[in-house]
Amino acid sequence: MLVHILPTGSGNVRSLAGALEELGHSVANFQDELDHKRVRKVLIPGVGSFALAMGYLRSHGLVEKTKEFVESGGQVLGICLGMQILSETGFEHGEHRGFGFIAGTVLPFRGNTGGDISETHVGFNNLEITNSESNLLRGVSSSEDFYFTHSFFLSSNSSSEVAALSHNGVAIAAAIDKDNQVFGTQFHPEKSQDQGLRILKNFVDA
Amino acid sequence: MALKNRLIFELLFSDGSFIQSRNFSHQKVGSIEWLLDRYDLNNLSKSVDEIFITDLSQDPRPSSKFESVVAKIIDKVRIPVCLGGGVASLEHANQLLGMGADKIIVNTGYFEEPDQIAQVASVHGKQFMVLSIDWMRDDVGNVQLMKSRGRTKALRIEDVPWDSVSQSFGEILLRSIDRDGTGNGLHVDSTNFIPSEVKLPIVLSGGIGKAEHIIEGLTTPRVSGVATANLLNFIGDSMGHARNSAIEKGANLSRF
Repeated sequence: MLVHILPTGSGNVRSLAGALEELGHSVANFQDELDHKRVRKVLIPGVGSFALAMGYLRSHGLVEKTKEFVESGGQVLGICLGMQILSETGFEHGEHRGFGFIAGTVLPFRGNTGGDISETHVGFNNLEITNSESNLLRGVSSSEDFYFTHSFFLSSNSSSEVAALSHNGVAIAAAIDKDNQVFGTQFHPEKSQDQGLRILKNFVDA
Repeated sequence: MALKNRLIFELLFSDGSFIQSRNFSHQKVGSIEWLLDRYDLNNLSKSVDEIFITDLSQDPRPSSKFESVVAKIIDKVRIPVCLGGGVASLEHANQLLGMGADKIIVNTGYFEEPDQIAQVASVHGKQFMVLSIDWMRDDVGNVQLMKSRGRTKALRIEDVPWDSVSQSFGEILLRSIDRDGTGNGLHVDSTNFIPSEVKLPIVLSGGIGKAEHIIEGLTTPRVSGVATANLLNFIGDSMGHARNSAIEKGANLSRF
């Protein structure tokens, strides 16, 4: 299948594209796509900062383009920062608006969690699946580990949109699934061995 | 369950060769062809959690040879790859990101161009940034951080502004120069150099020679991961065996 990647001005597109190609799909840039009928799946990769990613998307007219895509029934998968910008507001270097597809805000670990909780969640961690019906998590077991690396987390205001949690001294939203249409993973499926590839496959098949 | 610790493989590259370092003295071991021949990268990526590749070539960096070897490695592994070596500007960081870096490693750049490094963190997020600090004891026993390939003094450990470090970096790679390449084991007590208020994951490096050292490091409190740049002891299947042995002996590592 042809899948599209939405550039955010600073994403690690190479690994994600490689993983999708390994699964047998071809990859195109959503920003360059002129024929909207060709677009069915859009992935939003994630390295960077909330403000700069949304700033880049706004200045390239991509916020509207993506919203239209979702409103017409298209499916998106946000990865790491890509998942965070699907929410309403991010608090990295000030307050910034996200897409607003998902109810919640993005907060730093620093200052929002107490005790010994690390400011960065980095490494392989497993999931507590809260929505076992989610197509994104088909075949995923709670004993499998996925690679996380983030210092901000999504604080969800709607538990029905959260499909899985992960635990790092505090429970964080690890995967989201809203109406089988807006998906997100806080972890990097393209960096998470075979179980990560399964997540990508699930998104393309969903 | 929950968050696992990490076993990290470090590759040090200099002007065409991968090198073995011992107390920061370098010995050329082999080219990328040598590496690909001795290590099955597919296998390796099921034995370690992350790969760190550092460019120790002559400036300017990143060198084109480094870019070429990274390309040959990065497309063969589906695990996080961190790149570094001489990073002191946003432009350099962006080049590494373009090469496929999931994170970048910063050492000398932090001491010499702190504003540039803060800018990189502001653009790419602190989870993108690994602060690599190389330490040794000076003649009177103080813990001295070194920079510029370990040749010049940077700060004394007690003078490190940890609050500013915490704003720009997501984790700390703490490397013992004295143990580097000796195979005598990690200096596990070095976690005490970092005040307990600093809530960043710590990766220890310097001295791993065998599985027992990995186990010792990973069962030390506050240690998030251990890294080895030992090119010769973990060739072929050995890294996988070391990982399995560590897991059997209680190390909290993901099972791949």
